[in-house]
Amino acid sequence: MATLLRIIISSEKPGVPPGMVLLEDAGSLSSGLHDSLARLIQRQLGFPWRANLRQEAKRLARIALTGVAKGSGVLLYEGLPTPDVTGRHPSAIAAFDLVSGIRSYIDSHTWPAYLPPVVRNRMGSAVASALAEPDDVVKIEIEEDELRAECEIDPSVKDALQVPEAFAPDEPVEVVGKIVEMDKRNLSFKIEAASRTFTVEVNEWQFRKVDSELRWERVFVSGHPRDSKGKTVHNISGLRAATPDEEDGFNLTRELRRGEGSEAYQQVSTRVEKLLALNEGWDTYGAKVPGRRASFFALHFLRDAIGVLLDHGISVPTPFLVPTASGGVQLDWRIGPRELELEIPEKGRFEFLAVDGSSEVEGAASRWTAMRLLRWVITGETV
Amino acid sequence: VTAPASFDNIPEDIADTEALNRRIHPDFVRPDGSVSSQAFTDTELSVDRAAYWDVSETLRGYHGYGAASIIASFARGLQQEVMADKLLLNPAHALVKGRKSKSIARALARSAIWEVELGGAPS
Repeated sequence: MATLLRIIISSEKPGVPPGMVLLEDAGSLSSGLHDSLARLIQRQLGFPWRANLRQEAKRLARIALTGVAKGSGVLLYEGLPTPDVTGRHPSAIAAFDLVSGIRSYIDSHTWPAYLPPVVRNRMGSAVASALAEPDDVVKIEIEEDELRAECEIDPSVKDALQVPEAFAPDEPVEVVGKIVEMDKRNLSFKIEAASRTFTVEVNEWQFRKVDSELRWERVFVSGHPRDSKGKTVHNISGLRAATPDEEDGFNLTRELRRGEGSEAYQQVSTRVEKLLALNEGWDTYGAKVPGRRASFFALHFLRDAIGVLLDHGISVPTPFLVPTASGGVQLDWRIGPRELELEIPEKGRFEFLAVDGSSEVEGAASRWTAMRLLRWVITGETV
Repeated sequence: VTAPASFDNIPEDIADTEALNRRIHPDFVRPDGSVSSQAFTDTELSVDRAAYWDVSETLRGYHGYGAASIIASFARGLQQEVMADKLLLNPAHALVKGRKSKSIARALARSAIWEVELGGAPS
């Protein structure tokens, strides 16, 4: 059953009468809150932080501004029902992560992995105009049924939120985007990716390849950042046309591939290769061969889920990957009294059976629900 | 060893107590030896009636496979129709017919008993 979510942002400013919030502050706080929650949801879905914000993440971040409380500068927001979600409101999960991440920083002066710079910076910008004076404070409160959390952002926390991400020169990065400019004299070209423009410095051979094969195309580039802002990429080790599955964006290779180092991913990867070698009718009763697209979708979903859960300090046990007679695959976990069968009949589709002791639930699942079910089977946490 | 099977001496009606054998491909078997629900998802699940068809016949020519049995009454309790489906070369053939939700497939798998474990069939 869907939960009731309320988010309250208090921002009292000298000179602004009680019960009112300046439009510029309300606009900034509201759009910043929405963007931050949508990006946290995007990550919970297993997609990279810095990629374009997906429609799926925006759709799940359904929050309405429902009022300004009388007597103080308080903005009230409520979560609206989200299609295909029967458990906790995605925005509630994101909002609790946002608040607990900020509280964690206030306590330890270290940002947790689940609150990355791309979200912190956005939230920092959102509260900036409401924190003009040293004594100003923005308070965020979250209520979801019986659960409550709150944090206070003062100018020092705002400054910490706004610290831009710094890239190490030896940190491999990947950029996917469209080539928009070529500079033969400097052997470089520019890529537009997720609303940012990156310069890519290449050697002569690579430039010729781009000029002859990839000009104005969407490309995949791997290399290293030249500066801490990551606006220029050099030492290019990979350069090719982007596949339709690759999202535009700028990402750290170690973050994208984080799940690939896990035991669970490696064992399932090996098993996928084995299952793809099956022949038609392999079960002797006419079973179809597991489809490549379904198999690799399952593998990549697992990789992405492992990465998300590692952000929260949760490791994913190795699932049993079983082929289905209809040409799909299924990931099975049995952990204590809980069991999860997560079937991928074809790329992008999930069907599940969740068993907890003697109770069973089954049905079709969205990617969001599939991620939540995986977390549930490992931790027992509410879906 | 069961009695020799023929069209004439195998009844059409399948008794509730009859065991029904199903070949199990190695990829359906979990590391702990249990059988995945995916081995029991076919809408028309093909089985051999153990009372009239020796399990060695079920596994003949399928080296490396195993055979697991389910009981007819258990399948019927899951709203499945259990019916004879005699074939020319296998008069003890039967079908467990019905839509198998994931829950039903899991229940069938959990009820299955190994008659011959993987690779245990005579070559």
